[in-house]
Amino acid sequence: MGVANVINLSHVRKVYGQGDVQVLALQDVSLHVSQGEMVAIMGPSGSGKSTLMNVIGCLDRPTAGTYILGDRDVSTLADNDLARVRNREIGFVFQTFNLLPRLNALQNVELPLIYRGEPRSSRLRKATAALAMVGLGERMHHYPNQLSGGQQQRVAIARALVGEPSILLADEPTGNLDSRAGEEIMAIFQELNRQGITLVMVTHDERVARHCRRIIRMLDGRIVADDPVPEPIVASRHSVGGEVTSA
Amino acid sequence: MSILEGIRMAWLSLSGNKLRTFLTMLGVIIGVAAVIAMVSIGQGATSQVTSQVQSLGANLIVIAPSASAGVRFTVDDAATLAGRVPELAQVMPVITSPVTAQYGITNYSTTVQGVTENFPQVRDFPVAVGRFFNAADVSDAANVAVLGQTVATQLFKGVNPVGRSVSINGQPFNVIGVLTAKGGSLGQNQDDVVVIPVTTAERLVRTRYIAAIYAIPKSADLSAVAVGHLENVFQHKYQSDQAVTVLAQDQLLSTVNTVTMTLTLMLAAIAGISLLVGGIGIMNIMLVSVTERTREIGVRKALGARRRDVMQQFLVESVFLAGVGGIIGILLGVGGAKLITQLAGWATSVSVPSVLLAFVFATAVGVGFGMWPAVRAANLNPIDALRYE
Repeated sequence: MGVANVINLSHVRKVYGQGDVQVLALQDVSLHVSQGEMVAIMGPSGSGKSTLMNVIGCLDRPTAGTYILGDRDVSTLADNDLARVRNREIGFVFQTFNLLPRLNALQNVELPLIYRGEPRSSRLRKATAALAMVGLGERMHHYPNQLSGGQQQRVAIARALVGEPSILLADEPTGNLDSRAGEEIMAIFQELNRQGITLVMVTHDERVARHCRRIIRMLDGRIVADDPVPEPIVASRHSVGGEVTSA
Repeated sequence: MSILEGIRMAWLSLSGNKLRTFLTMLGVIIGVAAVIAMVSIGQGATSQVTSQVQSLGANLIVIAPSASAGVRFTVDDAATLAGRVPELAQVMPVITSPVTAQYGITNYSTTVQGVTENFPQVRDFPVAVGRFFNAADVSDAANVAVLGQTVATQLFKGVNPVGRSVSINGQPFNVIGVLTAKGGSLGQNQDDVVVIPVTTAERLVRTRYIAAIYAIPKSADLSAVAVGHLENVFQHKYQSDQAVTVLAQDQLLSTVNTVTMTLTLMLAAIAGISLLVGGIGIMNIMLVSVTERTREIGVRKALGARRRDVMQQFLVESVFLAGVGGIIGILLGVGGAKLITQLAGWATSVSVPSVLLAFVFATAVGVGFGMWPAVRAANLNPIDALRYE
């Protein structure tokens, strides 16, 4: 195919707890995602999809099996090395946005670069560019409580993108948004994906998932289906990069 | 993450909750201010007492008979002593008695001191106006008097007393001089005195016995030798080391210094406890803050913050709280010491080491009490922290 796999999970198991109260969150999961894919992970609560996201996002280590991110085995890295991988290779978008309330949009977006030790001037330049990319160039100095849910999520996307990660991980990115704002977010994701970014998201919403080109379904810690989406829904882009709907 | 970024972040978070930040600092502010004010009071007292003891006269040795042991000195004993202890440069008998002095219609109760003509050298207490009496005045038992500043002011109220006559216990005395102002010493006003020849005093208060013998050694180095020699003399004479007290000024000074040092340390310790309580306040608030910001810590870790980045963030906050509290406390402590001097009239002395020590201690409190919360924050598992509601 010529396109390298970014995510390579082989026979990954994840067990929580010890002794009698062990929970088998993932059992023998193998998953390969190549550069430029847009993948949705679906499944009921407790199916292991969040655990899978945590492993892919290097927030957690697999109990067994290997995880090769890009060309590097990250399944046994120490905490600080994992932090470094998260900082450089992974962009997170959360359901509840998780912006820091005391920082304005620009300062929130700067955060990953601060932990990378990047000098202030280039931080500002990159953060400004990332905010402009999600259509919030005008609202850089607004605080999270001055922004709508959709706008906050766009700030979060800018924060995830600013470090130019190799994958973007989104955990229910539209879960706390109305359908219109959710549509905007999906439009941004599709636009980013067109530009070549690899995107993996977890969602409950079948319609949201159908914006992706591949859907993985999980049940009881296993992948039970892995199908391409024949005709992904194309999100309308009415407000991206241009006018902003509501304040 | 650089320290500068850490300070910026700490500032953002602390300025986001100003009341809490202020109240947390208050513990350290009060602690540091108390340490500095208390130590300054202690040191002020020390230097005051020291200068008072020194104002008794340089290298003064006081030889006092113990009345309970039945030992009494006469003027002749003083003269004999000068011959027997060659280390002594000056020996002076002292008779002390309360008297009433009168000038015109003004009466004033004071103390008379009967001494010899070497009083200005022995007590390091020269005259300001007029002259001191001489050996002839002493051998003649002349009715001459030298007044302390307080007595001069009380009786003469601005008039130059030299050449005028005062009545002491009904006997007329010719005022020939006024002493310089010396101030208080150990609770006594040294200027509230009338100095007359010891021979005159014997007659005035009708006694053969003197209260004490003052002596000074030939040099400061000989002080200890002289004291030892004197003690030997009296031990031999009275077969008891309780009969006569020989006290050198430097001994007195070291005793006084021990006492005031203890006092200073005790005050500092009490104030230090309040600083410790302030530190516990910081720890308390930082622990609350870590719990409150669990989610924030999770987000930061997800974005790539390492363990030490998180630790540094919280540590910088607690050190900032303690450091700024320390600086405000220093200002308040120095101001408080000045205020105490103004209002209560106590001598205070703010020393640079005590200020530095208080600041370093406050910062150390910040590090010490901020460490546990910071470690707790750094050790949070990012997944749990992100899920925390």
